[in-house]
Amino acid sequence: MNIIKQLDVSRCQSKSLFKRQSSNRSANKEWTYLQNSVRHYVKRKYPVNPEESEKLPVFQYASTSSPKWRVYVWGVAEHGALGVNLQLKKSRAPIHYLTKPVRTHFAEQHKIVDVACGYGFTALAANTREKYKVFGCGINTDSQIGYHAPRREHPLQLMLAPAPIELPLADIPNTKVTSVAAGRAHLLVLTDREGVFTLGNNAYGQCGRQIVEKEKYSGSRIIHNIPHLTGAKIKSIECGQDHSLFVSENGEVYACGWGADGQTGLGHFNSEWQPSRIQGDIEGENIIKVSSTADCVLAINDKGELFGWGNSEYNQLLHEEIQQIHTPRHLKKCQGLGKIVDMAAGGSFCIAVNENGDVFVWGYGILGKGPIVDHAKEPIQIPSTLFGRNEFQPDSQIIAVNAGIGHLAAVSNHGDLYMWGHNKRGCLGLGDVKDQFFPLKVAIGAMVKKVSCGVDHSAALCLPFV
Amino acid sequence: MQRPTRVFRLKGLLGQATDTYFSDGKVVEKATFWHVNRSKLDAVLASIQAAHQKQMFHQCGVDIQSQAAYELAVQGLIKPENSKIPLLYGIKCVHFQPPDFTIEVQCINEHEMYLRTLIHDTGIQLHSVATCTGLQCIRYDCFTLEHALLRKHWTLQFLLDNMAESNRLLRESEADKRQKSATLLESDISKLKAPVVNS
Repeated sequence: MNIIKQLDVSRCQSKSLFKRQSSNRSANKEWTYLQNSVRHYVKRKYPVNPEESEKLPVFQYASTSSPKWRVYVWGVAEHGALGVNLQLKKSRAPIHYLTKPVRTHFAEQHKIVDVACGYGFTALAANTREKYKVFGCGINTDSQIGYHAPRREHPLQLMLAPAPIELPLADIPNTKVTSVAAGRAHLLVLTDREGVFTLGNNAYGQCGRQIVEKEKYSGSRIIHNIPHLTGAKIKSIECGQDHSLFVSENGEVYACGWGADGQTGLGHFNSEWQPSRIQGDIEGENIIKVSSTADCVLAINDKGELFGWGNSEYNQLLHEEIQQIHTPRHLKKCQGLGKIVDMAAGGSFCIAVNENGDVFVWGYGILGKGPIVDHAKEPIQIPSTLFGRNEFQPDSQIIAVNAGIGHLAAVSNHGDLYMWGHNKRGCLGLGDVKDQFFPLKVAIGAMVKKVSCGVDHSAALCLPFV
Repeated sequence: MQRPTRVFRLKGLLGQATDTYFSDGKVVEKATFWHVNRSKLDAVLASIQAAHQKQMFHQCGVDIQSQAAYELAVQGLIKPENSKIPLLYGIKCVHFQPPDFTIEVQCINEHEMYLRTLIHDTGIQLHSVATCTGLQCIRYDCFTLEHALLRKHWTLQFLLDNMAESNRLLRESEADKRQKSATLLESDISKLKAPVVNS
């Protein structure tokens, strides 16, 4: 009878681990599979005895236990946003940046439901009945990831490992955190029944509360709650650089924060602390998603039409004359692109994907059509062969896109992640620090479901294959 | 000079790992495989296929930051510049009856050990183990199993007919042009994709 043995590591596992280490040591740049494979012949003294295989125990590999969701991070690690610099002993040099995706141990211990990358910090939302449901790591100069003071009255300005953020929840066991959104120095946390909690910098009113002159944000314990928007439940949130956007259940969009480039969409260029309803072309439309990274905002309605407002210095809003648009306008030039299902507004460019999985970009910067094309006044399509659609994979299409300040990301229906743009110290995850001028697949050993792009780091929420 | 593309049918057996990665070797490990199903195998193979297609861009022989690399990439499938580097264009599972499974692989520059290692590594990816039980080349450039001679046909007349047929095939399919191009031409791809009936 065969015994199922739970050994620490099986023979095949240990062999593959050894192979990986030796390949790193040899620093072999070329992709030579040959050198790492088993020898071509086997020296045998005695012939193979088939009865011996009957006596072998049957090994059972560890199955993927819950939590199933994995988080991979890559990019700059010095500011602690990746949560990988944990043991800074004198003998061990700290990691400066990671050019390839690395799986965080944190997601193995908590059921992560959402991840958001801000400017130098990362926020992770966990599904738990405990008190701490949101964790943050990275830059904490404006208390954007909460108050952490292991030594009394000395709050930490930099968190190297994910630290729990204490939210003033009314119903701790039953309230669930559904999503998080991070901006330059502020964080929004959306719950399913208690509205939105905001923390961090409020110099322009981006936290949705009164601006207090000369307020000290470092070591601040203020967490503001916005329970609802004039009675309507908040469905989704988004953070730009210094402004916040809320989408309510009935398809209305509310904004607060910095408005000098018109990114609040409220019809003026002043800062606004109270979340106010945005009118303009989106009045009456059922908006399902808004996206913003810096100071340009895009929104789509349920019919797949694009609306935009904010900064258009690089022609992101497809308007030749006006450079700052303070009221939402319908992007008519995007009408011929089909029904848009996802879009993202980056630092100087915009990206949209339609229901067929075709990706369109416009604006300025590394757009993804080679080194020569650096600006587009109208949406141009990135050939789908670059996203893996060829004769061997005819059904490969892009289902989600995201943009950081200088780089872009696209997720396909098979769970592949493609990234391109300015490679700020490895934030593309392609293995080097060179800029990438057309989409290239990132090597992650899991199916990517959501990607979040920050300024110089990125994170992905994934599911395993098995 | 580039070698042409080939299509292989690899038969694998789940639950056993041998030292030569083939079923004639000594079994070194046995593992459970009740958790492996068709969709998991398909997901793993799709990921391997995408990873190889990404490597294809790195192996094209031009600097990836150049315009030439972009133009080559847009055309779709590229041949590696070095004829020693194996590359898989397509992988899919054609038969799955645990513990047996068969995968069809469209590749270039491969060798037997590479294909056996592919089966072994697929097993590891599925959190089980696998070993190769059979390797069958079903297409070599424009030649398929239909053009292969059976043992009983190894006589002079059959050989002469076959040689004439092969020459005609090579001429018609423009083998020279395909061999010199840096990317897979349409004629290449249509041949790779065309189903081969097992004779």
